[in-house]
Amino acid sequence: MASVTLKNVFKRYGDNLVVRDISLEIEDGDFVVLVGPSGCGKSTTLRMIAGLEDISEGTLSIGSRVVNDVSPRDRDVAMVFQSYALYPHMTVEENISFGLKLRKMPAAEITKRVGEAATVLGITDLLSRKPKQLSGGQRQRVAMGRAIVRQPAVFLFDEPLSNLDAKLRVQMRAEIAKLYQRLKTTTVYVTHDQTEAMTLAKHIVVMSGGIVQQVGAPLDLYRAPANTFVAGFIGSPAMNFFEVEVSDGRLKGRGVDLPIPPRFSGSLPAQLTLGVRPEHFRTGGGAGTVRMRVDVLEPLGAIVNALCDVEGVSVTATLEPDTRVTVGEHITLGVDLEHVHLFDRASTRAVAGAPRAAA
Amino acid sequence: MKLGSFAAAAAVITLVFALLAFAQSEGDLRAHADTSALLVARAVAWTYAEEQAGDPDGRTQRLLEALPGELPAVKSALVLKGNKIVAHSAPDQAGRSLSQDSLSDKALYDSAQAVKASASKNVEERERDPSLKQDPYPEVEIASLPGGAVAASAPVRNDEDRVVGLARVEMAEPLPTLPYPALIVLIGLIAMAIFLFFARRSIAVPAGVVLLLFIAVADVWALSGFRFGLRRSVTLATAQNLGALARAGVLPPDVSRRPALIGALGRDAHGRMYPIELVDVRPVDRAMTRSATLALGAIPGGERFEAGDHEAWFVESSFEAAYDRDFSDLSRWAFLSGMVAIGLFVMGARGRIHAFWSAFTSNRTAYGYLAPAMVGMGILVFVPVVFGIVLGFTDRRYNVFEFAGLSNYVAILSDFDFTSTKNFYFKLGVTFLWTGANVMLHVGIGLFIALLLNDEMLRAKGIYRVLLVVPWAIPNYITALIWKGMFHKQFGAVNFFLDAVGLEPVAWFGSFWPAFMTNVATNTWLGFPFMMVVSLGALSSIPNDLYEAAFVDGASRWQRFKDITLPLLMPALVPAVIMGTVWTFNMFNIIYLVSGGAPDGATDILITDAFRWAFERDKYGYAAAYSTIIFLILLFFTLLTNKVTGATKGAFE
Repeated sequence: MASVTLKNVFKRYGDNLVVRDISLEIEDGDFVVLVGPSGCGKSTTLRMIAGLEDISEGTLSIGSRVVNDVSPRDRDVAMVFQSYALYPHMTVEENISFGLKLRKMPAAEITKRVGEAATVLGITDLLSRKPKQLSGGQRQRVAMGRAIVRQPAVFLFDEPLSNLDAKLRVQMRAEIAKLYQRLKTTTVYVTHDQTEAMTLAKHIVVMSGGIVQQVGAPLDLYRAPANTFVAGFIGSPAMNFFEVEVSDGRLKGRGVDLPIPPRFSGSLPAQLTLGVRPEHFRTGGGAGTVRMRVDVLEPLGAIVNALCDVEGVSVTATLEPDTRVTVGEHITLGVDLEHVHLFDRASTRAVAGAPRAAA
Repeated sequence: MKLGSFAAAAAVITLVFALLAFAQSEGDLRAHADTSALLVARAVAWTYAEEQAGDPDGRTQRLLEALPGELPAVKSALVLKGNKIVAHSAPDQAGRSLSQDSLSDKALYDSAQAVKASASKNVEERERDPSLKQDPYPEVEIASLPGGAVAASAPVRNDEDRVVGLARVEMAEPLPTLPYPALIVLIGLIAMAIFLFFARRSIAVPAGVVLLLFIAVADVWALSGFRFGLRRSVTLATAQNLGALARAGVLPPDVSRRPALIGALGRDAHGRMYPIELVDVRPVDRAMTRSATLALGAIPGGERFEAGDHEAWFVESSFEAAYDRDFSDLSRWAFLSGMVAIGLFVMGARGRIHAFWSAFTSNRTAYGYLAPAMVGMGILVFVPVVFGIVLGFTDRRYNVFEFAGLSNYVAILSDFDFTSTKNFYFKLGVTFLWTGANVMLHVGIGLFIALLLNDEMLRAKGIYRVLLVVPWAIPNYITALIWKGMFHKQFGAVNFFLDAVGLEPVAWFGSFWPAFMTNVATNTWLGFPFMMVVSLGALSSIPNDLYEAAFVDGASRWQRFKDITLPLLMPALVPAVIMGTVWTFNMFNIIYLVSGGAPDGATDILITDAFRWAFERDKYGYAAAYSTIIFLILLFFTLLTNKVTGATKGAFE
């Protein structure tokens, strides 16, 4: 087990800058999820840690060792690929033991470790099969077995669940979480799915355009997004944004008229973006209200998502399941002022407010 | 479902007979065309000989001018003496000398010289071997011309039996296209239709037996009848030709050189009768035909053609022997196809044909699409293969294939004189050596280059790929000839190079190993691109993340090659190696063109030796048996490798 440190790391392909100046401290035993839209550089970062991509600039250390020029086979990392990358000509057992055999481990030890890994993952009765005889979830388990059997210092996961169907994905997500709870090995996990990030991570690194947007614990990112990108990316359904100006001590914009929340007592920039999460609308009004037309209703059982229109801006509001609204109806919803976010519209950065009481 | 097996058996019989009908009518018509032209050529030659011996001057020229009128099939006729055309059917050509500059004149002159040479050679041989005397004048030349015409040349002899000139006749006898094969098929179809109409389940088997018997008998009967009719009309045509010749004032005095199926007699001005050779038959009937021919005058019912002092006879009774023989020939075929039919019937009884038939009916559309290819394969592959295998059980004597049982195989396999370069086992050894060396080099070089080309960092890959495929794209006989030239002892590039670096030149084709090496070098150059392309294709289908996974797992470059690349290449490489082995095993062109078997046939492999047995040593049956053995070796090899490697199973399926 080891920590992973990236210091001012760049990655270029010719003139194309894919990763810009990433610095990360991943502590020993941490579970870090790199999340962001496709092309944001998260996979490249992971592959640099694995050693599959050269580092153009900066230093990468695993433990106390700088590994910029260390071959992947000597970095003591194990990686789970999106495609699982199982060796098609080997049985499950051979797949799992391949890395151990390469390291000339005694046969008895190999058998023991493979047996343990197979038991943990529940694939004991699949050991003699070939990958093509396995289902997607089983292949996923074998790929993880191949990683854990090596007992590496760092686990790397590259979008491991994106080839699975929705139900299996939820199930495997839980399996990965359990596995981490058991092994406590330093893990770097790449995904584009913020739900995976929120549920698995101890720390989330949100990336966009090759730049780290924010690093923090999942709930911290949810509660205090550093900019509109993180605010929009974390949380589901995504946060609603309104363009507002400060006027007469109130925040005014198209279809929006709110008092300035007490948290933001300091001076505010004139051009603001107001962020309201769907779950922070309240039926029955309040100090600030927004009037909107209901376009679509998505009843999910526990909640109802109302996709609405506020003078041309699409807004999602999460309502109680027994709220009586109909499509096409105009409703007025109150806004939980304690939980709104304000961003400087020019820089997209969050406007700092007083710390809020725990929700 | 017995109907299917009967139908299949009936179809086989019908097909065999239709092919027979086709081959026989073609052969008979062609033989007739040749004979007619020859007859006229001989007549012209004889007339000119008579003229030389003292008959009225200009008789030949008059005959030739009259000939196209009497025999419209004659396109041109001429007599050549030395390099002068002494008579010609076109009067303006008569009397001119051959021109040095005209290609057709040169060809004419050459053919006169060739006929003359073979005539004088035959005279010598006849003196040495009196038994040949009954074939007095075999030296003729027959060539097919475009458009179905035939050119026949016959020598003009003087009293001392010396060749003094050449008579040449071009004839285009209209050959009827005969519907016999179609008629045979029609018989089969009608019989089958009747059978299907009457065959109820309960009587299917007896009805089927009746069907098969009926088709076989009807085909034998029809075919021998057709052939009888064909020969009759062909003979009639020949007789009419004779009549026309007689009207033109000439009849050839040829003694029957070869056995005749029919007899025709000429009676010359002095009242002497000449038996005239007409149509080719087999030697068996020589005595019979001869006596029949000589007795011709006494047989009633013949047709008589008369002109002036000449008369020609055409007598039908002499057909009967031929008819009988045809009939027994055909019965043999009927027996053979009957055996095949029984084989099919047994398969039918075991449910094979039923299974096939139900597969066929349930995939009717698919088989419809496949039908053209299946017919093509049947004609182009199946028929020649079966013909070749059958030929292996025969021996050829006097242009006739006789059944010889396993004697060819025994002769090939029981010869243990390994020191002879013609020995089968010696050849087998050379062939194995040749195949092994080539396949190893092909795979080794091909895979190596494919690995280089598969490197992501390599630039201008497309250019390399194109350049490396060039050896494959050039027709291999051209490559073979180029390499042969490069290994030439005096003028070859290789020896030139050796000389330039101060080494002794090598006589590449003078001894076994250097000659063998030239073949291997040439074929390696030709063969590696295929393995390269196959490997390249397989390499690019290996997902990159397998390498990455192995890399992270701790595999070195060599281990990644050994544990990932090689096993994943196998599904593509093994079939390619099997194919390559078969190709190399049978690589005729390179051996034949580069070393040509030098020295003394030592570097010949089985397939080139099979060719030599057939076309150089003139032993078709032996060569066919040879080829069948080669086929069996390769079949065994393929089945074995397939079984051992399970190569037909892909890793990614």
